[in-house]
Amino acid sequence: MTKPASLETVMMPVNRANGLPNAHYIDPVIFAEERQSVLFANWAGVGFGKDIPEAGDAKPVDFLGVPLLLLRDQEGAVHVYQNTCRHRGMILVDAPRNIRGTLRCPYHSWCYSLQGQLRAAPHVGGVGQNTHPDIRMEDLGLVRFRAHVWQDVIFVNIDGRAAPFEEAHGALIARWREFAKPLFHGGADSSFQLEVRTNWKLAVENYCESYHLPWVHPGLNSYSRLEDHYNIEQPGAFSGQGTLVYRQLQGAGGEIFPDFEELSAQWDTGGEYVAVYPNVLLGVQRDHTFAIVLEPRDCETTVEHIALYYARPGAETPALEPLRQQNAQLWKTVFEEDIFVVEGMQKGRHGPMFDGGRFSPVMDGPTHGFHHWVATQIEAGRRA
Amino acid sequence: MTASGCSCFPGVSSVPGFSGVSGVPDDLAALEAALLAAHARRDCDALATLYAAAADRMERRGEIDATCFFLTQAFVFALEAGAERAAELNRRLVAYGRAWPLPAG
Ligand code: FES
Ligand SMILES: [Fe+2]
Repeated sequence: MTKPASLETVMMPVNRANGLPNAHYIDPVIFAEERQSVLFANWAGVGFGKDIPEAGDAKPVDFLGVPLLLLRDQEGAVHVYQNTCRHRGMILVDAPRNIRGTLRCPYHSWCYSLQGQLRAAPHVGGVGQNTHPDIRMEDLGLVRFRAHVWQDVIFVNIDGRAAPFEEAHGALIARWREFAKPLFHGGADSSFQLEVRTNWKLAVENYCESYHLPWVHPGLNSYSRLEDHYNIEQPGAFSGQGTLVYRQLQGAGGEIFPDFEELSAQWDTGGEYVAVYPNVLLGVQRDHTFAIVLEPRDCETTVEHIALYYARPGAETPALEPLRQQNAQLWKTVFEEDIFVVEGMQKGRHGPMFDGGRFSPVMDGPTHGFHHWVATQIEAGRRA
Repeated sequence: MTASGCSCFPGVSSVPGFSGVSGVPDDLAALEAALLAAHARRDCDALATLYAAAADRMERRGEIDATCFFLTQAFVFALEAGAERAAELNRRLVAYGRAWPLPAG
């Protein structure tokens, strides 16, 4: 067992702090601790509403080894269940599919409604006998996790003890209230995944800073200069960066995406890119948004699930399909440009003398804010 | 399950009135073949219909345990399909004291 390092130096002010120690990136023991104290104890992103668009759509998700079932009921509400039958613990759904009526376990056919109630336990009292005095249907519904959908991301609090989502993320909900509008996923080409050999936290850290833009994304920076960016810092909840010079993508014929309705002038050339702790990265601009759910596969592997959204449905704006594809490609290029740094930082953390690194007191506030929050969660878990 | 591999009539030999595949009437053999085919293509609407037909047959013979076995099978697949007949199948089981009434809604 690794003796946990004190995180005191991480919690110092940014100008004197060190980053999280190497073990937080390369040690499976610390990874297991973070799984509990950071990812399960807070609202973690596990998927997107667009992955279960229709009533009855069900999608199994393995979140850090926990089998989840994302399911949309007949009223359109999203539920996140433990994908485990209450009888002998069989996995209920092994591949995405639509459930027309009830969810039938493939083993002994116990049936659950989309709201999670046990509807039938066939032959439970013997052949042809579907009741037994000791089997109370109302006690044997699917285990449900607290879930909340925001910006089409499905957030889950596995340990059930976090503050309500609206409270935990009230500041960002208020900051972006103008984007509390229907979001329309751009279609198949507007979703992609990148598998990266890095600890999930490095993807967060790289996303929330603009310091690297001129070096890693020179193309992006030609129209989005470093001095046109500002830091966004909300201790304990989120951090990131904003730009003052967001420029809409234009097609060859001058076509642009329709704006979200009733945005204030701030957003004419504004864009904001925020890491919602722990593992969701969001971006908003006048004409599209995107969301990245970081799936920590293991200590040193992360899958980035990316989805782009627009103000109008694709079916309503078929002429913009090439522009949507171009936009998705543009973002994909940007995110791919980041892979070598997050993988490189991961490799760098195998250097035993690395001390967590020092921060730029001016440029790295958002990154340090994330480190500080992670350290706080871990210390809280150690006290509990 | 027997080596003859009947997956539609599990426990069939324990159902009174059923002595196994041999000795059952031809049309029941045809029913069994249809059930196997429906299982193979995971057609729960057809499964509900076919099991309900088997239940009807047993009911006419006065074989209550066998009836309730098939009604249960039919009910489960009707539930899975979201078919309206699930309510009726459930009522029949309830009448035999073999199931809880479905909750409203
Ligand atoms: S394990 Fe699901 S019904 Fe038996
Ligand atoms: Fe970047």
